[in-house]
Amino acid sequence: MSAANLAVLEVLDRDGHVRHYLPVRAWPVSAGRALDNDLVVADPHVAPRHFRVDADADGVFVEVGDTRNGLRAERRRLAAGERIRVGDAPLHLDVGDSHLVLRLASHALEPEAPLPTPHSVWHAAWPTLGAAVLVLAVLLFGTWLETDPDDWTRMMGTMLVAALAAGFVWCAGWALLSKIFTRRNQFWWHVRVLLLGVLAIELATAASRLLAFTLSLPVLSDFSFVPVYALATAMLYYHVLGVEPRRRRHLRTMAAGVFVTGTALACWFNLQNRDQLGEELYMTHLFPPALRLARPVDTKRFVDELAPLQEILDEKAKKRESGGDDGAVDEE
Amino acid sequence: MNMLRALAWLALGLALRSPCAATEPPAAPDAASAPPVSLSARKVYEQARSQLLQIRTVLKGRASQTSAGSGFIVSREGHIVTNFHVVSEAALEPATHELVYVTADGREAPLDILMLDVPHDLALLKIAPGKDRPAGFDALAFRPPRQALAQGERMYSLGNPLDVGFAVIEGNYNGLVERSFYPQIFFSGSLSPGMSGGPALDQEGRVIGVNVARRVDGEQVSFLVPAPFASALLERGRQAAPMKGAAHAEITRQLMGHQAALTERFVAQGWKTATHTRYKVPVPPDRFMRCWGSTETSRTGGLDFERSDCVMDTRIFVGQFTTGAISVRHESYDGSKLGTLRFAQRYSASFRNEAFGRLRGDQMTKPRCHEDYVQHDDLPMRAVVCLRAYKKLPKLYDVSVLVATLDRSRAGVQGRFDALGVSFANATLLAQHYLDAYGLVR
Repeated sequence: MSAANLAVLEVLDRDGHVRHYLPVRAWPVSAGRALDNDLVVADPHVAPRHFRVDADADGVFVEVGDTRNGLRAERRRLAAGERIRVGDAPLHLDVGDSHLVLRLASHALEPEAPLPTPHSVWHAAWPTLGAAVLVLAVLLFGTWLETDPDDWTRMMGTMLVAALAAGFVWCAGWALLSKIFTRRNQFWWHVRVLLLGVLAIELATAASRLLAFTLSLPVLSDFSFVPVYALATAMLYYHVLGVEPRRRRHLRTMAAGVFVTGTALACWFNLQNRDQLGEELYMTHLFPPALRLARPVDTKRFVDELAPLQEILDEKAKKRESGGDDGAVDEE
Repeated sequence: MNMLRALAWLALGLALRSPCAATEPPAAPDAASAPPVSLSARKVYEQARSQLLQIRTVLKGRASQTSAGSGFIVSREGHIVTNFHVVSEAALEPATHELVYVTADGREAPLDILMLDVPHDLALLKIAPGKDRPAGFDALAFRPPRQALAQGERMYSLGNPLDVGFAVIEGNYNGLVERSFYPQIFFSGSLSPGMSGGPALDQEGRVIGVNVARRVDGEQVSFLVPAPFASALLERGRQAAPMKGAAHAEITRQLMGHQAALTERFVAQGWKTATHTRYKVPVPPDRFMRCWGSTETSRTGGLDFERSDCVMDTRIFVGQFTTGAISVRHESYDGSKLGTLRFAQRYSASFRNEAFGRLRGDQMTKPRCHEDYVQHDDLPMRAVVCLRAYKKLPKLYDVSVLVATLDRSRAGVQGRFDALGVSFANATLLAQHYLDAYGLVR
């Protein structure tokens, strides 16, 4: 190992780790499917002589060989015969289905990334533990609220077992995916995402209902599914981030797309089934009367405010329509 | 709110619809228990036989019947009285359905509809002009209204039950049905589907009423439309031309009259007093409504409640559904064992548990609601009014009012008011009438 490496040409695995690499001690080097290349890339979408790397007075460049697929570098597609200069950072090359990186000796090295040691897990565990306690409290409160006094202790046990089992299965599933794609299970990351996600969703739901009741703003509980969808997609985004940590921007765009599509679909279904965008026909969440701030109106004024409904209904009555799915329910 | 109903029953329209119910094998003959048909039943049937008809609704051009009922001739010119529900398909969908009658001796000929009396479920028909039409018909006479019947008097109901064959059913007159919105005769005899529109006769063979319905949860509890409504319809429609086209406009016009009368009588009768210890809660008097109450005590230390459910027996049949009725109900909740938060959860769930999907989207629009906090007589409440419009009965609506009292943290009353098939003005009038009946007892 006397001569210094001028560069390395790395072939990456799908998890981003280096599968093998070619140390470069002299220019030029060639890469392709043919066996006389310096780097043999066994990929059916790669040409026998796909590209070569060489240096001239201006520095190192990549030149695309005789290939129909070309290659992608720096977000550009290069056709046969084109060249690209290697800049100050490692150059990523997509060749057929293979991902390659060209690192020069002159490139600055990233500092060593610390391993997620047990210490750091415990360090991050305090907020996780805090969130766990809060989520448990929220779940227990919900169960307490819904069960009659005589059933409470029995239901508490059932709820705890069910919640722990469901949470564990959920996080274990994500951990398995993380293990496959990042070689680390990221279990505690997924636990934290789940806990914070559940907590945020519960609080957002409760807050929108409470505000709707307090201020007599039915629209808040009617559309409480919008913040819930936003939080749920955020939760999914962070879960996926634990599986595919390198494509943050890409994932963010996708999460936004999922949220917009989901919300639009929900509104569309509401429109089909209830003839309105919101979820509820009327505000159905009643809290203790002391929490009401909105002032009541007298019955005369309330009934007078019905008048605009007549025109809307008459307009709707003229339209033919197939039966919605809420139909055919008898009054009882 | 809890969906249990104190007493579930149905007054069944007696038109026979396809497919016909499976015939049960007749019970073993029991000579001792079956009384012989009296001589007068035979005499009455012999007299009325030629005036008695089966009325069939037939699919045009296909010669298969979609429903069958009964009817009877009431004039020399061939006027026929039957139930509206016997001819409703022909009235509402004349493009695809037509009417024919069949006599006891098997003659068959087409019929025209002259006039409808939807609230009383009557129709006046006439034998259509044709080459085989006889010059004059034997007609049944109406018993004069001033000759009152005594309870228990023997009477005979005629018709064609289940399309099996013409029959005479003996029974007794039992006066008028109590708490009916329109007068109906309570006949204790067994009416069956297919007998709708047939005459009920006294011992002299004069018409007392028209077979219309029976209770399916009892035995021999049957109903007749009193004859004066039929004779009045004959007088009004004697010279009328046959109805052309679908009858929706005419039905709507008659329902408008019905809802006006219903609203007026409902509002005029006021409310019962002392319906709750703390609140004034609207419960209608038992004039043309019937209120059932029940109490439920939680077995798991939860919510206790009492409920009251007031419904009308009378409903107006308008083809594929009924309308023109009012119902009022409330539940009174006691959550003293539950505490504030748990009570609020139960109270909220009960407020949510309300359905508005009585009819499908081809009959009615989806509900539109208005909601707010209202206060009356120092009682704050959450009030919701939801309205739906009928698609084929323009300017008629179903209105539902939901109320939840919001003055105490561990107790409250939730009420629901429904009026089916009312005008918009009456919907708002009734909504206010209902809301104004709430308050705190001073």
